Amino acid sequence: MNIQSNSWLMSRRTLIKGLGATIALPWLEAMSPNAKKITTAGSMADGEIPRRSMFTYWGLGLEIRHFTPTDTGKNYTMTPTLAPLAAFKDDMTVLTGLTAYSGGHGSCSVLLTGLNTIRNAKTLMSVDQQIAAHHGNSTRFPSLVLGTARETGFGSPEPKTLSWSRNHTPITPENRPEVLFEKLFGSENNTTLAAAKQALAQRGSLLDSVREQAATLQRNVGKEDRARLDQYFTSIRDLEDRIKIEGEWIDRPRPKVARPDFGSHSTRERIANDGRGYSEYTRLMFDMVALGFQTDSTRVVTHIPRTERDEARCYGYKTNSKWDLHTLTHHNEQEDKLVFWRQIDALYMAEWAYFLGKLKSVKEGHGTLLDNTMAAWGTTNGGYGAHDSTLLPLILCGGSALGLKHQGHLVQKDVPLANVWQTVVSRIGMPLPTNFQGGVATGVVKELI
Amino acid sequence: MTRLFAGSVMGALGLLAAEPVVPVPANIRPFIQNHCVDCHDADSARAGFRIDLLSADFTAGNNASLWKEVMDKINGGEMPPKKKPRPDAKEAFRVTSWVAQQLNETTKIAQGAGGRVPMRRMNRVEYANTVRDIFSLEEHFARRIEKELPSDGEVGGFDRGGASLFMDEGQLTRYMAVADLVLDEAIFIEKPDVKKFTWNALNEKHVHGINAASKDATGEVIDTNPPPGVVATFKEPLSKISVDKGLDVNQSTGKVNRYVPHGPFYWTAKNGGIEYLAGEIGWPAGNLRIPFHAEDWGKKGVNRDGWYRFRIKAGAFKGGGKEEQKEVRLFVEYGLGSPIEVVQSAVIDAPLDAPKEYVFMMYLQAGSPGMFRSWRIGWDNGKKDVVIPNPLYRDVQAKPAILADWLGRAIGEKKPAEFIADLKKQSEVALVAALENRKNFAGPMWIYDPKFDIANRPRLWIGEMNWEGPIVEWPSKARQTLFFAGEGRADDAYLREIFARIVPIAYRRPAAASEIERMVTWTLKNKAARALTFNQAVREGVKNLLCSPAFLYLGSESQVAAPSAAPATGPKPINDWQLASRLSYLLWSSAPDQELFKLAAAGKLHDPSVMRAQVKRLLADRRSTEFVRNFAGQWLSVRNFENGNPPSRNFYRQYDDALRDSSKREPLEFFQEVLQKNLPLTNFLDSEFLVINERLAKHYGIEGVVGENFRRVPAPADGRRGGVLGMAGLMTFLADGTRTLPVRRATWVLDKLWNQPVPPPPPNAGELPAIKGRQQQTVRERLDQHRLSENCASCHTRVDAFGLALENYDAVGMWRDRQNGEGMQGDKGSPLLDVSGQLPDGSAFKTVQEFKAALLVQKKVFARAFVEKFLCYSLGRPIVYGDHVVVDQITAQAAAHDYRLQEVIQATVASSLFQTQ
Repeated sequence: MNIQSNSWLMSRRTLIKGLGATIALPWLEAMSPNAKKITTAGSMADGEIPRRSMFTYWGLGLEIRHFTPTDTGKNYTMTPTLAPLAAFKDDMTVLTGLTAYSGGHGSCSVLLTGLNTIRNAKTLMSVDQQIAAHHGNSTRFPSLVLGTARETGFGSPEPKTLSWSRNHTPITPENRPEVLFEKLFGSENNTTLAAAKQALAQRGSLLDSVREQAATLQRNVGKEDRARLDQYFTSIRDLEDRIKIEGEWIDRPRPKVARPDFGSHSTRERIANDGRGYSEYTRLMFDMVALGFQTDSTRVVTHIPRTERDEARCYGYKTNSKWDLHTLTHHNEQEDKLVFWRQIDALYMAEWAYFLGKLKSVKEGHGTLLDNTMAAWGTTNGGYGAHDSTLLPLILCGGSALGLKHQGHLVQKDVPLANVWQTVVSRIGMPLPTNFQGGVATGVVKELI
Repeated sequence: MTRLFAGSVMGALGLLAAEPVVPVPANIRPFIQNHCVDCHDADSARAGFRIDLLSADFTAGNNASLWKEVMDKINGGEMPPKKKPRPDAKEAFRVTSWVAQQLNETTKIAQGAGGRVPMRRMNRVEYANTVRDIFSLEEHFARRIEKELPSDGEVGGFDRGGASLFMDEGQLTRYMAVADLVLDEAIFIEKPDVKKFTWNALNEKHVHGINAASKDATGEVIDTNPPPGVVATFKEPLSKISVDKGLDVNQSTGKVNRYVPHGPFYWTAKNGGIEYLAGEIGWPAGNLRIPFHAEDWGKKGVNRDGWYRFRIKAGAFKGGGKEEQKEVRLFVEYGLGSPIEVVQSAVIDAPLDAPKEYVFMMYLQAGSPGMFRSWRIGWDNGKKDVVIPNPLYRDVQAKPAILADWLGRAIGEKKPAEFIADLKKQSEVALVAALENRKNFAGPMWIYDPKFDIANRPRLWIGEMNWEGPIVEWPSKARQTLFFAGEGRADDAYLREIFARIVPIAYRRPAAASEIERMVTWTLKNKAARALTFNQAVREGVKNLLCSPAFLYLGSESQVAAPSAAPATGPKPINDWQLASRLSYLLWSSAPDQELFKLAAAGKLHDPSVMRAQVKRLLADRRSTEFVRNFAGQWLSVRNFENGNPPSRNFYRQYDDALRDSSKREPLEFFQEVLQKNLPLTNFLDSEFLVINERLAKHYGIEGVVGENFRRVPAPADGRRGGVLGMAGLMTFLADGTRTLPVRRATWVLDKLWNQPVPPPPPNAGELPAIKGRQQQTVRERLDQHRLSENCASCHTRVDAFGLALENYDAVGMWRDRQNGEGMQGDKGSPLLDVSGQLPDGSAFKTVQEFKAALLVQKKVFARAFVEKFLCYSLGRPIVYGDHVVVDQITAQAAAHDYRLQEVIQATVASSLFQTQ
């Protein structure tokens, strides 16, 4: 690139202009207690409330002094950073003082696994995948793994996924709302359906063939290499399971949701400017999650709306911040930097508020989608400045119909963040997985249940 | 942390023996006796933990995790508890470093496949290159395949480790998807529809921002030079339009009364093209950008990946006197800001009066369907506003225009009616006044800015541009390779011949008749079952091949030898086919070529002289740049450069994209020089030359380097640059964008150059606190404070010197004598840096030059470390203690040749470890 940065920004603005228009999503109005009647999704029975969960990670954390309420309990005083969430005060608990095994840059992989870090190269299964395994094939998609990057970042100092499979391998996130929509609600006709079935059968046949080849190979190699090929067999088996689930769902039409206009900008273009495209992009992703829950297409989602890369670029178009977010987090107590950081925290928080609002706007059963979804705003970057693994903030939202008792502001000094996940797992109603969070969790957060 | 202890210690409790199975070493025991056993023995077993039973065998049970806990507790000062007597820091350090070392060894053993070279799947780079070479694909396409595959983990710092190249559902799914991509887009793609466009800047007047001809809502055209009396309708408020365009318009009839001359433009239509004067008006200031048919060209023109050709007629004048520019460079930009962005440029060296045709060949990707792709040509001339509004005219038009603006905004913001009415009135009054004033204004509206020497301003003339593409060979090479005897036949025999040719290439070894038959049978069965055409059937067969284990797994070439009844488990020599693959994947990151296959077939590869010649041949081949990209790219962390925090451009204003891109290339270009010229390894520690381009030369303060290409230049006599330490990209990576990170730099040097990885800090170590308030402290001073804690000091005193020595390189690798960053400007008010220190061997240094000299004294340590790194890369497993004999041999052989890089490679390839399995 040989373009001077300011001209670049200007030209970007014109390019992105088209993004300014709000995309109206075709919301399925008036949800009945039984989603199936309207959407033919999921295996939700009459009157059943799916126990949903959503985990998000926000790189670099936030300025906790402006975030943390000075008082505790249900009637805590709102803080400037929390202000965008004011409407959901009774729907959430602000937890402060938590710790994680590791923090700072590249620590998103520790959030849901308890121990996975780039330093110790541990690979454990993440809690969302354990929950997905519990839900099994009761939905078309056992889980959705989302992020702003479509790569795992595995092997680099900056992992970019929250989800680790039962094989202890990182799962690649999806970052394109339009692809996500297609995956969830892509329409089928008889031709495409036939083609999809054909492809599924083809895949099965191919797997049979390569399994046979691998079996021959395995007979002829040494002991260690045989063990290595076991992974290959496991992959085939897992894939066959996947095909089986897909086969079970293939004849059941996907929920009918009118396709919104996603525009023609790629994800990278959307988040390559000064925050203008970011809000819209992030909200589109949140919309997809809400639709996925609403139609019972999935029951557990992980999402990284912001890596340590500060995708909204400090909302430059609103804040005119002189610094990037990372520089702001190393503020050295300089007031001019803190001012920007606090401003930016509130803007990012508004995106989260949008998501909560979306969930709350959808009626389900006697309550709303939010009441039936435990949604966590999380980070492993805490402390007063240099984003380490202590004094972590976490906002646990929704799920009151699933038995979460919100407590307003709850101080959990030095309590492992994994305990919050143990609490979530307990509300899902599944047994605690063995070696949960690598042994980091010490119990549930009693106040919440 | 206690909770972790309690949970995980159960295994240890099960043991009933009074003594651990493997006792801890004698020099560790006293500490444990004095500080731990009191609480953690049979009598009390606090937290359920008994250290007296903990075996020093780190590989058994969960001993390793328990020992790690012990280490973390001691490191963190949690154990022994605060109330108990403090242990001697040195003694504590002995324990923690012993544990760290044992843990390190245990990890290596776990990943080490028992000292063998493990069979492993290809990593994504190798996969992409292999497919590229089998099917003669474009390099660009190969890199796209690479990106489509999930990223690989690392062992020992490289992505070739068997232990991290796992296979799972996601990986296999992606293999299938990538096989589809290759088949659909490189082999079975339809004949392309070649598109052609012609374009001329002359027809793009409207993009020049001068409103020369603009259409209103009804389609009526207002010309800049309308005859008086023409009726015009306007979509914008009349006041604004009329004033902006220099038209004197009758407000009630819309008739143009009088035309005010526009004056000069920054462009002139000439000789069937447009001549641009450096410095257009408005934005983007100083960077001419002409978007053409923006959306249409992207969408209609590029709907398939491939090469596209642009021919553009251009001439230039680079200016004279003070106005002279170094060159006039024309850019062609496609898909800016998108993942498929391509930018190409050329220096326009033809004079204005004798323009010539410049040809750009660009590989363009179509991207996802419907994606917005911008198209522009441009000229970065760094000047602006050569034409300015005539100050007299500005007086005439400014006030009404501003008021009209205010009025618009007030209406938009729904201000009170009175307020709006008042503004409207003011606006009308101002307009009337302006029109009145204008009667006496003869123009022009615009003039050349008198501060410029117009005659000497740089100019660029652009004429017609012809565009065509995609320019592809069809049927593609890949298709021709596959259907080697043309596409006329569709019989089963042909299908058999096709697979008989392609299967051995994919397997990198001869295929047994049964293997080919299996593939053919499956393909035919599939063809019949799904009523596929011949081509579709072949397609599915090839997809199968690209997902088959014999293709994906390196080391599976062993299968060709008649398998013995009981496969050996110990090391045994590998066959020539395996050797061919090992060699080509080492030096090309790709499959062996015909010559290697021929030598393997002839059984000659094991001949040392043949092997030696092949290493030389492979290194001389262009494909060896992949070795540089992958080995050096990981060893010197280049791959991760962009994963660090980018420099704050607010503080480091000189940091630009050109510097970022150049500094990413420097380590690789340098390595390439050392490799191809077969220079001693010591050049990595310090060298008398640099391999740089103009942008880096500017950054390093070196004169006389012109152009983007890298070349070897003598290192400056001041010794500030040379070797890898001090390379801008590396120093930037080992900083966090706003400040240097000496500890990170130190651990990098110790890991990468000394192969002595520093154990990670205890989990609660945290970061060095930032500078607070107005204190003006250097990082060293803050680190010194940090070291007041005995626990931190034990490690940091040993480590920090390696990083503090590099403090003269700031967070973007610029030389500095004083502290900068974090609010300090590096000026006289900022503290002077003290970079002195002492290496563990006792050698003291005061400057970075002396530091590098001290490292060079220990070149044997470095050479051995390099050999270990390279061996790890070669074998795909960590180097363990048991390898020391071979490491010594290789190091000694290299030493006999002055530690020349190619000798290290030759000796490694000839070593028993490389040639056995």
